[in-house]
Amino acid sequence: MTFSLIPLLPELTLLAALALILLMSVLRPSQDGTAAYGITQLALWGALLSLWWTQDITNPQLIGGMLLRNALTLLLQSAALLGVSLTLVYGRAALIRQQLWQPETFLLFLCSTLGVLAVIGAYHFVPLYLGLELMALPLYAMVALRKDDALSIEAGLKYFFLGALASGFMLYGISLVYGATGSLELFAVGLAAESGSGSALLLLGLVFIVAGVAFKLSAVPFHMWAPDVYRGAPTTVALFVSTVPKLAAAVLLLRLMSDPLVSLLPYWQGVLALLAVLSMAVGAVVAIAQSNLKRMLAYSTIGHMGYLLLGALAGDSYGFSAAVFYILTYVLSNLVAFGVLLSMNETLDDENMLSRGSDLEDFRGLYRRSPIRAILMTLAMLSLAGVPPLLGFYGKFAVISAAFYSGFVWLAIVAIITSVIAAFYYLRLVRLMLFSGPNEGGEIALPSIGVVPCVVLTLNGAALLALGVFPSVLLDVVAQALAWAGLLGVF
Amino acid sequence: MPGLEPTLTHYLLLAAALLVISVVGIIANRRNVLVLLMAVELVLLAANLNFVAFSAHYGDLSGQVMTMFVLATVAVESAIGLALLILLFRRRGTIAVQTLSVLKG
Repeated sequence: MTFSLIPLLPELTLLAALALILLMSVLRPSQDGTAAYGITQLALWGALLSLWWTQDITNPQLIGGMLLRNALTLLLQSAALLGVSLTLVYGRAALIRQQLWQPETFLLFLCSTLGVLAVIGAYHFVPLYLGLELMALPLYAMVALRKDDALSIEAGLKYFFLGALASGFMLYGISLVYGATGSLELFAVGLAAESGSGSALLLLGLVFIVAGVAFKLSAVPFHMWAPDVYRGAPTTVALFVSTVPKLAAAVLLLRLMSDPLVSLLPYWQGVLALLAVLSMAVGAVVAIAQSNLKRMLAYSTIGHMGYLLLGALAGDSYGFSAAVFYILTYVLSNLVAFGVLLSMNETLDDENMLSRGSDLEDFRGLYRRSPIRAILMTLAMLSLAGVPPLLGFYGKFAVISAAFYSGFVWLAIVAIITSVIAAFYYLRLVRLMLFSGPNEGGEIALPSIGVVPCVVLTLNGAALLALGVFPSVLLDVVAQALAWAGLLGVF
Repeated sequence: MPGLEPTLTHYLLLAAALLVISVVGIIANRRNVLVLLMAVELVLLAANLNFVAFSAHYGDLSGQVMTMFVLATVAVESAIGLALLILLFRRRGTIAVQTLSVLKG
């Protein structure tokens, strides 16, 4: 069996950059991260360009059917690469302030990105599992990157143990599916599952796999790690955890639902409906009680994953395109929210295990001190809350109508109620920033944002508004990608 | 001896027992983080046993190939876990599970 390496150019670009950074940090151990940062950005954009340059959607299977590259993976892999690039642009100043401006930081980012690309493309259980581990293992180290900070280490350990357990469950589920169908290829698994052989084993396997995917998505009841990890991790890493791996987890869920295990759709729908209701409720209610923005955003993520599941569990092409559209709107909005947070000066008070700069109180009266930050944060919050005419509204609209049309009327009603409750805490932050007086407990210093992050962040915020006014642009792209991917028989 | 040879079911039961032991180990263990690490690795080994058993049952090699990959990731995972454990010990002077409770809410 021979195959060409050219279609793998994006992955190989990242791999080459990884090797280069590793080599540099060995040869000159004391250097700072400037060169590694440059190489990482070049590699990400190189991978993005080569992704589009080598794409050939008439021939979607790579390496003998191990990986897919169709219109949909093209779209989501581009989103992932772009997301990492923006994360590093926004996080640059914060990484320098927190003394994480080292080659190793970028090494871990690249490693995890490579894993994300592999998961998005995986069409066989071996690259799927290896991609998941390649995505998750660097994340554990990244969360604990602030080696002198007890919170960071504790978050890293918690994430590690829960994550390792979840991927163990996932693997156990894969082994049961292998036992029920006799194959590790997703396509062959689908054929065997359809003929109904070994359905008890298959169902048991499904339960374990759903648990693993739900952990990656941080859907309730597998959400316990998210608030602690967001709070303890360096904020740049929290931004990464909350966006790019979610893209991979969403694709993983949709791919498993659409091809190999589609014959179990009624069971999927039952489990996912439960996860969706719990996630939306916990995300909306518990976030109200948070006084720290990072924890609040963690619960916001949990809630958003509930809405994503709403689109996925519809199980038809309309639901899937709604889910993909939703995850893209969520990632775009979350990038702005964290981008503003990263421009604030976070300081650590190690005695009391507290950090300043990410509490809601620190945003009090922000508009008077830094209008640009306050406006961008307002855009992000309104988009996350789903207020028209911002992008987030159309995401929510798409998934709720998908659930409605596929007969889950009660789920659609629950989703509308929870999004109204969730709007309270998003708007509370907006009120604090725009209409409240200065913080009486002393204001934190605001460093200048920097020209490049400021321009990129403004463009990102403007995109929320522009794509919200013309939502059909992004909606059409997603629907078109899904149609092309579906035409060739593989999602 | 006929009748005493292990069958597929025996292997599956053993793997399931390993899974239960590791889950109980994680839930019941309140003292040592190192034990948690061992319990987490046990889940992966239970899955491995399943892969090998099914692979022999079907006469299909892909399950055994998967096992090799999993063994490699088990090694990586324990390396990262131990590194985190050392960080925790340096910072707190203990690896008791109860100390991991500053973050909550």
